[in-house]
Amino acid sequence: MSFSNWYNRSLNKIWGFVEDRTSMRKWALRPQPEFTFKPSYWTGAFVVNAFLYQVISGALLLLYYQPSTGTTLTACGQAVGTQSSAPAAWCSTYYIVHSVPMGSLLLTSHLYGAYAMIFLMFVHFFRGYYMGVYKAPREFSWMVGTLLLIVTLGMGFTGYLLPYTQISYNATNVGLVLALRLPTFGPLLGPFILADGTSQGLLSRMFDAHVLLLPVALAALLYAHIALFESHGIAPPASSDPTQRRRYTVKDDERHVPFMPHIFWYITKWGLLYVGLLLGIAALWPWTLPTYVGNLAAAGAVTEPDWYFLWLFKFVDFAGVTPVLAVGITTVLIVYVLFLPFLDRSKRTHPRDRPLFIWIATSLLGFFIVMTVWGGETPGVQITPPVVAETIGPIFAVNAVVTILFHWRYVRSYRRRLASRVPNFPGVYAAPDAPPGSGLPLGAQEAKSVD
Amino acid sequence: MPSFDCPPSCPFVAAQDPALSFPVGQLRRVARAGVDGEEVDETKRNVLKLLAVAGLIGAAGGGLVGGTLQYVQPPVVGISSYPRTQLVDLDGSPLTVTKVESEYNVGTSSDLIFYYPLQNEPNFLINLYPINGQPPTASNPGAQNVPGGVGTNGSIVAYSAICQHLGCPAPAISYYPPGTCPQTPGGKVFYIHCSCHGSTYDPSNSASNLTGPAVLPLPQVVLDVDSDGVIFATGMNGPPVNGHLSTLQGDYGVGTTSQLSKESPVILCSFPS
Repeated sequence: MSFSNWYNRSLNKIWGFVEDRTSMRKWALRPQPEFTFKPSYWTGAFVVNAFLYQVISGALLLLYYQPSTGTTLTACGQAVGTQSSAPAAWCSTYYIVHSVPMGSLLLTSHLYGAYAMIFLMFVHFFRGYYMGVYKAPREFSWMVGTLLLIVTLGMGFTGYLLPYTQISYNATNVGLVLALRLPTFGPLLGPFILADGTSQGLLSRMFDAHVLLLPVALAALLYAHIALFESHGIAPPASSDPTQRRRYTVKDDERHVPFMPHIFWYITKWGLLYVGLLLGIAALWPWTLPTYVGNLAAAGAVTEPDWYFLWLFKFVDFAGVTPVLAVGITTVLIVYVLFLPFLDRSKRTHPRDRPLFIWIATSLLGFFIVMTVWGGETPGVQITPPVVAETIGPIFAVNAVVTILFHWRYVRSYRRRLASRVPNFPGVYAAPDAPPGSGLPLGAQEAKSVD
Repeated sequence: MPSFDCPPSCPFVAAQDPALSFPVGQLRRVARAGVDGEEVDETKRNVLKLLAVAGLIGAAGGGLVGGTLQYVQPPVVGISSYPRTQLVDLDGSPLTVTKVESEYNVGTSSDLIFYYPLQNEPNFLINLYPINGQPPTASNPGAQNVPGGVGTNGSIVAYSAICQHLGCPAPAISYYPPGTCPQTPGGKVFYIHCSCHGSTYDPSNSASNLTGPAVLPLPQVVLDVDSDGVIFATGMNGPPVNGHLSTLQGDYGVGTTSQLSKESPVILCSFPS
């Protein structure tokens, strides 16, 4: 028996045994079409990989972390057996970094892993936005995904305070005062966020949210997100054809590959690459712990949040931007993203058929990138309205021009092809001078959704 | 009997057959003979059962939610009135006007911080009198007889060291002595500046807002000097300390003494003047 024969038979035997007793292929680990085996179809799996790494590294960090603002005997630079002058939260973090074997690597990789997870999540988000995957029947999938995005950013916010450094404490205060300064909601939310008002009360709440409440919420939402994915099948490539089927199931496309071993090894490959890169980067550029809260004698550092909140931090630097306005605009953004499937109602998924929504996406992307870089360069420097207009205005304007030009070129070439060649071409735009019945768009047919 | 527009995938199977359906879903209307020969309306009975069960679940759920909401709001820690707190110098001796006027002046760069009235409410102690001990002029920066100022020249003041914009505490918010930065916000050469979002305050005028996103002044500590020249903090004026529900709520009180500490300020000169 050749090796490959032996290998395949053994694998089938083992997998068959499990499959017979679980019917897993029916409710999870479903086969996927062959054409999806490129990274752009698996951006969500990368986020899940990153999340799993965060869970494991976080559980290990929890072995030594002490969520307390009091003093502790744990060694963080003081004489052995004496109480620390730093709060226990900072002290135990110092202990993880400096005393626990591999602690520095683990903590650094947990931090960079959070950056990577948030970055990959934004990649996943914008990829879905551009490819129009949120359209029917995947609206709920998209909405659950938006909630996942909010919860993940919440994980970032709550985790930032835990090392209890001066910078993280100040940045957390900025976020809280933004909430507390809201009319009506601020005083209402105050007691829930501030607890008894002490720093210990706040730290306990952030700790609870970061290690229990938000991860559980994230896991539950992730389950819903994946279950919806399994039920719809993978989103087919973007298309200008409104009759294009929006589901790819085994029935539609026989060229599916089974989960075991193909998909399993495919994801494992990317997962191992991710962990390898993450640990490599964490080993090369270990994080240095800034000074603790209340250490007034040490040289202070400029307050700033992590990169994913820099845009908001910079936004409140703008003259005239009150906390109410900042929170209001963020809320509008969230509501827009949440209800995007019900705003963009056309049945065409290709970016070239959705100029308005692509303009909004690209402008938002440009806005986030410019604001993040700007916030990193000059955190806390107030910006006057003319400078804001000069910097932010062109992003939206240039984008509008580029989008309109591309769309115009697309419409023109499509009309030409429609008029010249193919009668009843399943197209998008009718030629204005075409004879009746030739090259018309789908009209009545178009109104009928396939799924 | 109304008919319902229900697709084949309609979850209420009974609704597909109008004869068996009722608006509340699967509650079937079946009339049957009761003991005394009268018809019993099963739908009515089922709706009543449903209401009773829903009421019980609602009451239990409401109690649990209400209890949880109470549990997550512990009694707020705080004090009921402003204490009379004696300030203590860095070396542990009582802080006197003589000492402040001889050691600290408008040019003192490392901020002096004391906590009052709560343990997490830092305040600046600033003496605005000029370095050379001569009365302030345009070429000799400084101030005297400022609002709320104490001491021989009315130049010793104290303000909350928590920015009124978004709550950045010292050292992110710092006192800038004359010549620290080229900027002169509102024509002032010495000021309090917050590195978080660039708010600037005027220490010679009740810490009123000079520039920046903040609109409120910093709360001012009411200082009092006894017959021996010892400085006391006795209260706060102005808006509540930022990030607190009220100035007296949100931590334990400092008690009868509060010691000064020195901090290294965060100096950031890249703000528009």
